[in-house]
Amino acid sequence: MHPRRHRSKRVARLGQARPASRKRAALILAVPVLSLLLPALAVEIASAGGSGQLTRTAGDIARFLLFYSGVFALIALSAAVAAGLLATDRVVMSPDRRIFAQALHRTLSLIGISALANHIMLEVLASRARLIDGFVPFMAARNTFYMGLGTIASDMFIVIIVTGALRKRFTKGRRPWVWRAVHVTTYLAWPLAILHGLLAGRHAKPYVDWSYGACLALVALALTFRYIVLNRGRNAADPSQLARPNAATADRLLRQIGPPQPALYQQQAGYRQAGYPQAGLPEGYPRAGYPPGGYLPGAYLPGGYPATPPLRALPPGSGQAPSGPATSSPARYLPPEGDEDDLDYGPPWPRDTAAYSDGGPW
Amino acid sequence: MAAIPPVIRIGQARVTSGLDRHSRLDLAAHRAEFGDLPVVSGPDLIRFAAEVDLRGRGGAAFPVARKLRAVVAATRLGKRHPVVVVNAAEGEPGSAKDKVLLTRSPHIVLDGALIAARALNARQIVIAVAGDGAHLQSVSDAVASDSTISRMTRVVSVPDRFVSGESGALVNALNGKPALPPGTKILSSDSGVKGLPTLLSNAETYAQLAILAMLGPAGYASAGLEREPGTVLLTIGGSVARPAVAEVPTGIPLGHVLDICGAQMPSGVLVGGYHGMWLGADAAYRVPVSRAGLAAAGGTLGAGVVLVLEAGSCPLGEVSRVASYLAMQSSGQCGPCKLGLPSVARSLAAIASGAGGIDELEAIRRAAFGVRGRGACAHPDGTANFVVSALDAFSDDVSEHMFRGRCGREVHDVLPLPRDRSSREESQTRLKVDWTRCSGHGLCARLVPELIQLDEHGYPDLLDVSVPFWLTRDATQAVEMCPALALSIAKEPVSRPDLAQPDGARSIPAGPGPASLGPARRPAHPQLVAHPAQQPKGKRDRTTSDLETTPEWIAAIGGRELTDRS
Repeated sequence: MHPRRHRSKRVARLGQARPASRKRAALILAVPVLSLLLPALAVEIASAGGSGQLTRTAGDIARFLLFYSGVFALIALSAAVAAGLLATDRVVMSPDRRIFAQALHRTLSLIGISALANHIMLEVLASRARLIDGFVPFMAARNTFYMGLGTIASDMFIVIIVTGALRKRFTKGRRPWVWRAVHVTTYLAWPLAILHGLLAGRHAKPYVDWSYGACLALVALALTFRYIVLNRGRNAADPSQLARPNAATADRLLRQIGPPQPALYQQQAGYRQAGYPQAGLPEGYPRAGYPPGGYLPGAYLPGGYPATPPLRALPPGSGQAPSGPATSSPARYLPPEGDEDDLDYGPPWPRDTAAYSDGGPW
Repeated sequence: MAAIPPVIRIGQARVTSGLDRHSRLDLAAHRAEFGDLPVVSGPDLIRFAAEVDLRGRGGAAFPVARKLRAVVAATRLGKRHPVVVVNAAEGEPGSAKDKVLLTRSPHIVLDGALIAARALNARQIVIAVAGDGAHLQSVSDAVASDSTISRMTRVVSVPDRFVSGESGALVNALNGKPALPPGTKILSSDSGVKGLPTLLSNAETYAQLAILAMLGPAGYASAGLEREPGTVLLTIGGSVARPAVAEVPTGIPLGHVLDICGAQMPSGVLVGGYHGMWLGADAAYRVPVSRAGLAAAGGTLGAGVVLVLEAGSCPLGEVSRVASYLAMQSSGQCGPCKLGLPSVARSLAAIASGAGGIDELEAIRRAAFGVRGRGACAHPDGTANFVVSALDAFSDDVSEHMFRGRCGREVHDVLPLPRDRSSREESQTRLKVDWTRCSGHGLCARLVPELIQLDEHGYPDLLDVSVPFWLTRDATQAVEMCPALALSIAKEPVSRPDLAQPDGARSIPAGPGPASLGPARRPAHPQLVAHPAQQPKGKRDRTTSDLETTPEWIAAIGGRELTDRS
C-alpha cells in the first residue's frame, strides 16, 4: 500500500555483539605512537620559551627521557629476549607459565620498541644524531662504528617485532620457517644493541657492564641448553629406545596363548553384512547401557571383553542407506478399529464472512 | 533465501487457513479469509485465554492468560503503556513454523499482536525476526501495507542464533545490548523493552490468539482435545519424503502425521527440537500430539518440531553433530555451559567415531547432568536432555559403537543444521592443525579448552566445529601463541564436499515466497499438485490437506486415502 515508504524504512538490526579485535589493535598501536608524540610535545613546549612551571616540567621530562630512554629500551628488549627464551622451555615451565612468559615477552617487546622509538626521536631532536642515522648505519659524524651498531640493531628489532606482531599470518602460509628465521636473528641484534648501549654514549658504570655481561652469558647458556639438550624434539623417537621385538619371546608367548581366535562377535558373520543391526548383538552383550547395580568390567562375557576389533573395510553398499530418491516405507500408523469417533477434527473454517457474523465475541 | 517447507493441514485449518489457495495472504486476501479484526477487551481476552488454556507456542508452554494478567498488573502499578513483542526469532534449525507464518500469512500474526495491543492499551508493537530472508521481507511488507498497524509497529532483525529467541536475550537485543541471555532473571512482563511491561510471546501464539478472538472460546475449543483444545503447528523434517509445516488438531496420533509426510523407516523420532527428547519409532507412531501425551511418552512438544531419523544413518553420528552445534551455540557467558557442553560434544564425537569407550560414556553422563540448572538460560538443560535421551533411545547403538567401533552406517546429515550464517559477525572459521609441525606443546588446550583438549599423548584433539563468535578472541590467541606455528585459523567453505545433499532425497521444495505473489505459483514437488481453487462442497473435504493426494501418493503411503474418514 505504501511501497515507497516501506522501501525507505530500514529494518533495525539489533543484538550484534561488538567486535573486540579492532579495539585491541588500536590500543596496542597507541603505545608506540604515544611514545613518539610525548617527547616531541615535551621538546616543543620546552623550546617554545617562557618561564612557567609547564616549560620547566617539559624540559625536565625531555632531559630525563633523553638520558634514560635508550637505557629503558635496552633493558626492556633484554628482558624480552629472556622472556621469549623462557617461553620456549618445556622442562621447567608448565603450559600456563609458558603462556604467561609469552604474554610478558610481547609486552616487553612493545615497551622496548616504544622506548627505542622514543630514544631515536629524542636523539634526533637533541641534534646528537641526524634522522638518517636512525635508519642507515655508519653515517654518523662521530663514534661512527658504535652508532652504526645501534642502528643495525634497531633496524633488526623493528623487522623482528613487526613480523612478530604479524606472526598469525605465517601460520597459514607454506613457509612458516621464514618467521622463525627472522625471529632468531634477535640473538644477533641483541648483542649489537648491548655493545651500542655500553660504548656509543656515556661511560657506563662497572656494575652495568657486569650485568649485561651476565645477561649475555645466561642467555648463551640457555640457548646452548635448548639446542643441545632439547633439540632432539619430542617427536623424534630415539631408535635405540624403541622396544625391539624379541623373536624367541614372541614365539614362546604365542605358543602359550595358542593361535589367535576370532572374537565372538566376528563369528556372527552375517551380522556385519546386514548393514545395520537388525539382527542384534550376540547373547551376553549389554544391550541397554548400564546393567542394574552398576557396570562391572568383564561381567558379561566369560573371557572378558574382546580387544579392539580390527578395522576392516566394509563391502561396498553393505553399511549404507538406500541412496537415490527417497523411498517411503509403508504407512505404519493404523488406528484401531472403532477409534475414529474419538478424532473429531471439528467443522471446517467458515468460508463466507456471513457465516460468522452472527456469533462470536465481536 | 532459505527454502521453506510447504504447509499441510489435517482437519480444520485455522492459523493456516487460506494457504491452500494463496501462496501468500496479502491484506485483502487475509480480510476476505478471516473477516474484520475483532475487538476484544482486555478482561475478555484474559478470560478467553484462560478458558481454553492457551499456552505459549515457543516451547516453554507458559499460560498466556497468566502472562496477560501479569502485564496488566504491571501496567496498572506503573500507569504505563506496555509493549507487545512478537518473538519470531526461532533459532531452532528444525523449526520453520514461524518463518512459514510470517512468509505466507503474516497478517494473522499481526492481527493477534494488534488484538493484544488493543486489549492491553499498548502503544508499541515490536516484531523480532532472526536473520534475513523472505520472512523478514514479507512481514515488513505486511506491516507497511496496513496503516493501522504500521503506525505503532517496528520490525527488528536479531542475529540468527540458537539462544537469540530466548526471551531475556530478545529483550536485551531490543534494548540495544548484545542478544545474550541476562544473568539475572527479570520477568519481561514487569520490565521488558525500555523497562516497560512487555507482553513477549511466540509468533504462533499471537496467531492462535487472533483465532481465539475470532472464534470465541467455545468455537476455539471445537477442535482438538478437551484439555488442550485447538490446533498445533508442527514442523516435520528429517528423513521424510515430504517435509512440511502441519497444522493438526491436538490429540491426533503422531504416526498419522508421519505417514502423511512419508517418514522413512525411522530408528528414532526427535520431538521438541534440539532441546527435546528422542522417542523410539514405535512409541512415536502411537503418541498423541499434545503436551500431556508427549510428556507421558517421555517426550516434549516444545515448539512443535518433529524430526525423523532414518534407520540407515548412524544415530550417534547425527546426535554428535547436533551436540557439537549446540555446544557452540552457547553464548559463552556461563562457565558450566561453555565448558560442559563442549566436553559432552567431544565425548559423544569420540563414541560416534569409534574412539570412545566406557569412560567417554561416563564423561557424557557426568557432564550432562553437571550442567543442569547452572546457566542463565535453559540451553545447558535442554542440551543435556537431548543428549541423555539420545543415549537412552539409541542404547543399542551405543553398545555397538563401544564394542565394534562403528555401526557400519554412515552419517547422512539428516538432522538439519544451519548451513549459512546470515549475520556477518559469525564467519565460518575453523581451527586447523598442521600435524607435521605440531609437537604437542599444549598451549592451545590452555587457551581454548572449549575447542581443544589434549589426547593421552599430549596432542590436540579438536572439536569439529566452526569457531563461534565468543571464542574468536581465544582461538586467535591460541594461533598466535602456538610455539610450533602449527595451529591456524582458516575460513572454510561452508558446505564440505562430504556433506553434499543427495539428489532429491531430502531437498526441501521451495515454498512460494512473497516474490511470487500470484496464486499460480505452487511448490514444485513432483508428487504434489496444486489444489483446485474452488473448494468442493460436502463432507469429503473435511480433512483435505493443502497438498492434494494424487493416486501415486496414496499408493505410496499404503492405500489409505486420508480424506475418506467419514
